[in-house]
Amino acid sequence: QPQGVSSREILAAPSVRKFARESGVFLGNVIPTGPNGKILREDVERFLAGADHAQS
Amino acid sequence: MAQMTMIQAITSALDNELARDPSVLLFGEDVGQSGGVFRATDGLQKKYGDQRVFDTPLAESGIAGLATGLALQGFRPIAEIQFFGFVFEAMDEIAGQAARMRFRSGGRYTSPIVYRAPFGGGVKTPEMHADSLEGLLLQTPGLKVVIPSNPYDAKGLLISAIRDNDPVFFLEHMKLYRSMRAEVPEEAYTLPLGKAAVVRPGKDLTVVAYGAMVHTALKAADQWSKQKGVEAEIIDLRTISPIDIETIIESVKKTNRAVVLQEAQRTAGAAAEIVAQINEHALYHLEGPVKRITAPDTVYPYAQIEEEWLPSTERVLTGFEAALAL
Repeated sequence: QPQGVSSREILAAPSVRKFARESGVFLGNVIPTGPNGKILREDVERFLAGADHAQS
Repeated sequence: MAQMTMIQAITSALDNELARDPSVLLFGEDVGQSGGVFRATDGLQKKYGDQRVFDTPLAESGIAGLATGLALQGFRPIAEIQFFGFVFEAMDEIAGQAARMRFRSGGRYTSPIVYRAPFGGGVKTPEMHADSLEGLLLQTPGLKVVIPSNPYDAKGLLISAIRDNDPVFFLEHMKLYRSMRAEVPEEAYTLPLGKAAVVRPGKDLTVVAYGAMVHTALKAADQWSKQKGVEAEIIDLRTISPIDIETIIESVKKTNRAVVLQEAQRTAGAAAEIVAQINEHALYHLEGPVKRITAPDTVYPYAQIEEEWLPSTERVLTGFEAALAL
């Protein structure tokens, strides 16, 4: 898992955490756009789209 | 320092405070000449006289009412309810009177009372001796509730409880009375009420427990670590009212998962309140729901089957596994 972001600083609802977990995404790599720095489901989706794009 | 059992640590705390403060009184059923059914007050009447340490008639409501009255006259009563299962008889005096005295009188009167009562399963007591009724006290504004899990904490917390200017219910788990010895200072010291302790550090799961369940949690966590390399962080709540939510949240931020373990039935005890507070304060740190590991929602069982009924190390481990899988 990438370093830099401590798990203490990551804010995400359990549903978003589950989605990220099942998608194989480490939330520390995702840029949050929600209130107070919260990671939203869309942020994970955006990351996934970007990661897929980078791989192709 | 001396090696003490929890019961000796409790006696030592009572001894220290009776010596320090002449307004401290100790009374209950058979706490005087006999020294208490568990020897908690052994030798204290002889040392301090029957004006300070005395027996009462067999009436819990009378004992609790006596404490309220003496507190209004400037004493610091320590009242013993022989077994916590008998607290129903005294609930009005505790929850309806003493706990409300400061509020009711606008601060003119207070109730610097400590109620001591043994409780807890695993020692095959008769009916209404082992029941975990702490949940009843938890919902009483004006009352603090303390449940120590080891000799050192028991002494420091009891001295703090006696010095507290408001009523404190001090619950002593019978299985822990003599199940371990620990280094305990002979002289008085205090531990803050309302402060939990991290008794086992870990990074994978936060386990909140109190009373005898702290030891069950520790056993399960050590087994888990050896078998699976998974590390549970165990928090001994020590005071269940007020709940030290800061310590719990700090831990949940690190582990992102939590379970609450209690000996009381699922719908009783403190677990539901702790789960609610974690949800309120740390939802965005949780990977999944906070689960409870508890006894089933039945009357406390007959002595012959209590080992099946109380949360066992195996059942606790299964609970840990389930929480990690979420």
